[in-house]
Amino acid sequence: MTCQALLRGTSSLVLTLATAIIAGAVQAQDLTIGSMLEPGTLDPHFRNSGENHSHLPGMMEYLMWRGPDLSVQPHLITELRKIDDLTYEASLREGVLFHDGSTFDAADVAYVIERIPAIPEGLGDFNGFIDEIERVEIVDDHEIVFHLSEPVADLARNLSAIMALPSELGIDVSPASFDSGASVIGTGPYRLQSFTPGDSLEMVRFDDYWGGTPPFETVTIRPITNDASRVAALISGEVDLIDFVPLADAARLREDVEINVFAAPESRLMFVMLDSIRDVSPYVRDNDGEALNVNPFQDARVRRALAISVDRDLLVERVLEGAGSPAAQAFSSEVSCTSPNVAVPTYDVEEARRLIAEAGYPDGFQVTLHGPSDRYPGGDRVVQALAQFWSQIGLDVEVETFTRSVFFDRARANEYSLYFAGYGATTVFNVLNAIAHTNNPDIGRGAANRGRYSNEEVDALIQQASSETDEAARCDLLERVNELVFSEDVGIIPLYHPLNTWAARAEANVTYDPNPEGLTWVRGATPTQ
Amino acid sequence: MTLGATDPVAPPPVVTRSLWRRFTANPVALAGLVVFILLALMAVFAPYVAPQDPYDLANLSLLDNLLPPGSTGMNGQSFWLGTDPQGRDMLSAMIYGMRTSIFIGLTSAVIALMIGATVGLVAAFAGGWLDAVLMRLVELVLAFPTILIALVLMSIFGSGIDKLLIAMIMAQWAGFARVTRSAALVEMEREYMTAARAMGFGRMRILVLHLFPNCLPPLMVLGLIQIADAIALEATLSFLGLGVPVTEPSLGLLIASGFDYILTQRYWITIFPGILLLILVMSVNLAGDHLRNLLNPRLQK
Repeated sequence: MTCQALLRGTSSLVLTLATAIIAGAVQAQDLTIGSMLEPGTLDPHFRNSGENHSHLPGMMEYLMWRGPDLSVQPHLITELRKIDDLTYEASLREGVLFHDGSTFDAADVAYVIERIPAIPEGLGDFNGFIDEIERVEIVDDHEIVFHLSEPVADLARNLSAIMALPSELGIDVSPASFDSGASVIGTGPYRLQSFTPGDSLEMVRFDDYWGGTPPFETVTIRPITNDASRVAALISGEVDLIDFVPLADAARLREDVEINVFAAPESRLMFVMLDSIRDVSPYVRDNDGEALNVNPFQDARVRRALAISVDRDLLVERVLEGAGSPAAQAFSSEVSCTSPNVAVPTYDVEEARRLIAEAGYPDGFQVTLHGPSDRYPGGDRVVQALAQFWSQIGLDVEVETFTRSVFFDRARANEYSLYFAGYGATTVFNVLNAIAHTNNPDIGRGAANRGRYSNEEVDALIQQASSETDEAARCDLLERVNELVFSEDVGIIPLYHPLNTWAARAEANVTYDPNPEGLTWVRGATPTQ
Repeated sequence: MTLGATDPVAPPPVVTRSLWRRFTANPVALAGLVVFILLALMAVFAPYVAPQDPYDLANLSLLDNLLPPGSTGMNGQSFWLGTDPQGRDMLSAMIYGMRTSIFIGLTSAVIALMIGATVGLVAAFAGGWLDAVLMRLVELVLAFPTILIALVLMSIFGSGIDKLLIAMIMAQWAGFARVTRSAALVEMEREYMTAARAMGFGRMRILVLHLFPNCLPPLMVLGLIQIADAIALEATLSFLGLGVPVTEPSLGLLIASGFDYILTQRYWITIFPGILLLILVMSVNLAGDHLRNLLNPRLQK
């Protein structure tokens, strides 16, 4: 699929908005969201964080957008045409107004690209998205040409992280002037009303929004970081919608007729990483507790045995209380670049016992499984459940959990034999590049590969994919990587994709359209018919 | 026969039969002691008392998880107090958890007492600069809340029962040192000490056989109460996720894992271990408080 093909057709986002607009015309209402995430700054180009990507796009819009299947869709840029590896033409949407009444045009795009690396005391969070853009040539008000310094695999996706601002703000505009509210001028459906850090972010409807009249009169974001307080605020009616519903509460709220629950699988893979590089692994012992002089995880039969002795359906149903789906590869199969040939490992204890015995461990062995105690919802219960599953095939598994900072420091130092963690991203490429490529931080690959899985064929495919600009060809390469890593090598044991959950009071008449990035977008909320 | 009994200047006996009689005369204190002994026996004989070995993971079935009290499991076993998120029988988990709690509480209190008593005796007996140095160190430790010291130590050491024990001993010894020193200073002024010195006994002999036994009463009281504190401290640390391994929960960790479910009507995961912890700590405190009253002349009628 080329960029052009990608941009053809009607975007589902526009459809969603259209529905919202019709509904909004019927009934004006206010919306209050209780969010675990609090925006740290209102400068859209300062910090590349879930907080800011959640709450700022209600006011300021991306040049391109990411759809429900994570594909890139047209937005302020309506068409991106590749001329050659270093030249892309873009058409801009016409009739788009900023909150201050000025018109969105080519100069604004050029301004944003120029501003990002020039932010006073900036962190450089967004530089990576635009580094290769050498120059933006303005053809006319709504036609531009991006001239690149080197080929980029997915320019459209990079542009989908950049929010538009009016060029009138000037190149010297500081992040502080956004936090005071003065510079928060976007093209989004809501205008900033007030921002009180730690207390609230208030927005009002922008009547001249290009996509039609937005559905809510006012929108208030209330940061409530404590899980129990957030749930309590929803039940008491203090807020209409909350994000990050805790696992145990989600199950109960689903049965509550007063509450509507919305959920979507997150584009994140939860997995077990195995020490596959050392000949003797630090936490592997024989049944008498003596160090084993071989590393059983270097044997594919042992890895496969571990993979098929986990009953993922039971894990999701009982331990996560339904808040997840069994995983087979980097992303669930609805996402492009996943292989149809990789299925969720079939639960088979007998076969696992046979494989373990065949590998030379008929009586099993002892091993310690590590995991973070406070990073993933239900994570501490998942590691215990894994130990339970593996005890069924004769392994004596000890579980040790650490708080997240300690856990990841030790993981980076490659201290574990077996560990449970997860990796989330918006593309299959980013996940595989981080967890499946041989660990090599110097070239920015395998950064999260802390079991040191390494396969030359996988590395070659990933490197090839990183410079492949044709999307279909890139997907073919990544599908093959999925097959090699998760099915043929079982170099990484896939467990599940977590489910993100939002909940709204039925009385508030709000529907939330959940997205796979786990972001809480104002535009995801629409009044219920 | 003790060496002290043969001394011509034997110190007065510390624990008498009348003390026991006076202690048992208080039904509340006696009840506390009896309950504690019963719970301790249950803990010691946990493998025979508990219906299930909750630490054997092969025994647990996720299919049995989060069952309410009185349920029957997949294999026909009854879960009188329900099951936890891993399918563990709550009753068994509580008995084994209490075993861990009592073991850690008792061991850390006893070792802290031995260290603290040694430091206190040496400080009082030696006096001078050694006394000054040791007591400043004690004051430094006492200036911080026990829980804070233990928290800092645990975050340095990492989790595990052995590390938990070390952290708790390091947080508790100073209190014993201080009490021992003040008791020893009082005793050193007594006639029998002067007599012992006049007899030409060696310093070690006076320290161990004459001074130490007479400092015991306040230490016993403090030790008993400290056991209760130690059990509560261990529960707090485990509740905060810094103590015992998750597969071998103590009472504190059981309460913590149930805490996630407190708003979901699965009350049994946190309430039952909470009640058991309350009874355990109360029983020790009741006995300890009464013992303190008996041994404190100012509180006697």
